[in-house]
Amino acid sequence: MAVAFDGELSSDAATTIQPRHFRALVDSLAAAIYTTDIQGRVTYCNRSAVELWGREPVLGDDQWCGSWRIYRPDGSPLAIDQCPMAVSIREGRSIRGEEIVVERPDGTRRNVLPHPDPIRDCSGNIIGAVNMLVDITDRRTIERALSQSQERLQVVFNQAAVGITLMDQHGRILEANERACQIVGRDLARLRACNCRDLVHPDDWASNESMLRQVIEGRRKEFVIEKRYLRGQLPEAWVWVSVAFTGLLDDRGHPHRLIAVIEDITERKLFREELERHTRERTAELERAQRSLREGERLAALGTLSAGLGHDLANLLLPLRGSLDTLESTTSPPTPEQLATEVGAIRRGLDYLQRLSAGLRLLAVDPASRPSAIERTMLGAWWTETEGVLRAVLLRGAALDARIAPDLPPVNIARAALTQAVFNLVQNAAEAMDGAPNSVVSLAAERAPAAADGRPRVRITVSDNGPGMTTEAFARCFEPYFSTKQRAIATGLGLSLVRTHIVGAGGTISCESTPGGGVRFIIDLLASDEDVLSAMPPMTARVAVHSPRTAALATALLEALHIDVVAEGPLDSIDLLVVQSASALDLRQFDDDKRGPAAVVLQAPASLTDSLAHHDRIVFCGENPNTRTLQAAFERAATILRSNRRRDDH
Amino acid sequence: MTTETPKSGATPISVAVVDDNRLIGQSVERWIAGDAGFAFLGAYTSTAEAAAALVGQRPRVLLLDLDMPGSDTLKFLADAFARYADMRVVMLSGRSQSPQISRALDLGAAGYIVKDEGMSAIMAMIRRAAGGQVVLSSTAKGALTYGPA
Repeated sequence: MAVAFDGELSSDAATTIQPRHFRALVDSLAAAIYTTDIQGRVTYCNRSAVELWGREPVLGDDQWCGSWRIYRPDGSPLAIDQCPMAVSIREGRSIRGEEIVVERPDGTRRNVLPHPDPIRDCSGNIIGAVNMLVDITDRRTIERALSQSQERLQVVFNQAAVGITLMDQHGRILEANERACQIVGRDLARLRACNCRDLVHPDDWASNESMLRQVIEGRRKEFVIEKRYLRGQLPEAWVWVSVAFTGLLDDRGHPHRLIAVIEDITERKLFREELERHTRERTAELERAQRSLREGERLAALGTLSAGLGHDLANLLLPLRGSLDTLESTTSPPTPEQLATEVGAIRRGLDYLQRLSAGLRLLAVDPASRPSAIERTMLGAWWTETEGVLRAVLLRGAALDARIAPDLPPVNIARAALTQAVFNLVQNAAEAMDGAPNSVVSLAAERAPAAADGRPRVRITVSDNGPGMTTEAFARCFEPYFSTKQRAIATGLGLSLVRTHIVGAGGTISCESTPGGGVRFIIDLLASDEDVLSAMPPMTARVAVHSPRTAALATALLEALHIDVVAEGPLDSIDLLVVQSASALDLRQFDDDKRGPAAVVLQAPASLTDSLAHHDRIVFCGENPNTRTLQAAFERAATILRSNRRRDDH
Repeated sequence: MTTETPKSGATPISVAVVDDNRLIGQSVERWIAGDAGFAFLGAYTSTAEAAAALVGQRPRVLLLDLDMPGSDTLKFLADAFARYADMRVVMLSGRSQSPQISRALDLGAAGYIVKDEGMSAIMAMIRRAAGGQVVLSSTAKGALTYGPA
């Protein structure tokens, strides 16, 4: 590169830097530097200037600058002799801040800020000029991108389908988009005069405020909340919104602004409420329909049962009447033997009637109405109660062969649920056999293999020697509304209800069917650990309450739970203490381990209940106990005591 | 619980029955006729009839049927409990559903006897009710607790 440099140097510089060194220094600068003489002819340029122009000027020939073409920033052409360097020489002044665009021979353009300064001789006459060209193309590109990005952001902000507001750390609204204005029914000026608190429903403010504070204090970055905003100025015009708050950090990393993105969810909310209302209504309708179907199923069973009962009662009435006739027609007083025989016959008849009555009552109970009951059934006693009803449901000619193993532990199912389940199975079996000769329904109860967790189980099987099920009936027999029965009120809920009862009690039910070989239903029920329980001494309770009426009621309910009520005796011999209020208790007795008595407190305010909740051997009845809550509390206390005793035994 | 045998010379326990089935009243009357510890005051077939009779004389124990056509027995029970502190009303019913038993006890019944009980057991429960206890027949207990039968 041919370079000439004739510029003046200050005397200081001249003494320390040699001209050749200075030239090398300027040559290597990243800024483009060039000089001209008074006529504007280029006399020197460095490498950076050549790179910027995209060409090498002809020194002493190119005038004003080495650019191929130059333009104003708006893109209009600028004559070379109008360039800032030419103006600087002509007008003898430095020029700053006038941007130009340089086009290279290859067509690429660069944004440039020229810094031309005249060069004067010792007399102050202009002899030329020096120009430094700063390439600001990259800066301009970034600025353009930033500007475009901001424009896009502004469009998004203005056109967003959600409302957006910007707030300071005090909740004052600084900016809001159009949608935000629409949602709250105020123009931007009025919105800017608001604090976000002014918009929120008073009932929703507390939760909103605590979360906002967490964001402002930097303990939380963002949160979303559903709340109500006031629309316009009318106090009743509330709009449901979902608002997502995000904290924006300042240079020091502290939250100083909040952005709220607001979505109007009023319609969605109303729709959801409407949907929930519909769901509730449909559920209620379904429950009503189910109840009605269940009733239908019972009615259907009633026909069969009535026929069987009529037959059995007639069979019972005859010997009863016979015995009474015998006693009445005897001319002389009956001998003690005669009396014993006839009274014995009458008593047996009455016993049967009593069991029949008990069995019928079990069929009438809706097991779902007793959710909190202690649900255990002794199968031997249950069979005595229900045998009459189960035999009565059989059609003529069918026999019921029952084998209930002795010494079975009690099973965990309500008597009514078990009765209704077995009744359905026996009735189905009897109907399937349709009075065929030698029809037998077999009912067996025996110990089953233990459950996976080791708990004992009892198996109840109901089988028949009828024709068996069709493949379709076998596959679908537990489905609700599936029925093979031809009667007028065949709802098909029978086996579905059976399964509901069994599964609801934690048991399982399965079915086996052999064409021509009958059907067998297998029910496995969890059994209570009765061996341990029966070995325990009976529980005792002391009732220490003011009201004689309440004391008497509590005593009756405790006795119903097989808990002996004692009037006196040392406290450490009592299992359960029933008191009016917690102040009657020495709480230290309930602080230690699980040993010691349990207590039932009849009346306690909710606050006390909470504060004593850690005493797990104290049971509270609530503020206004009634028979049900008393009984539930006693059952709960008995369960706790049994569980503690069982653990102690282990 | 033990049954109390009335001491000789003690005032017999007066008993009345409200049941639309006349046979029930007759049975109770016949059974206690032979027991000096009891005095039969009367049998009424509706709560209205009973309410009118109670104004004049009141039994110590009134056996009240739960289901009588045309009678609001639970209202009668609540009224009697509020008005006659010296009278014990014991329900005597064919029903043995737990909600009915709990409701009657809440309204002040001194007991609940299901009609499947033997007569001597009923007499024992009448004695205990007269003594201030709340009595439950075995079927009523079973219905309340659903425990082992």
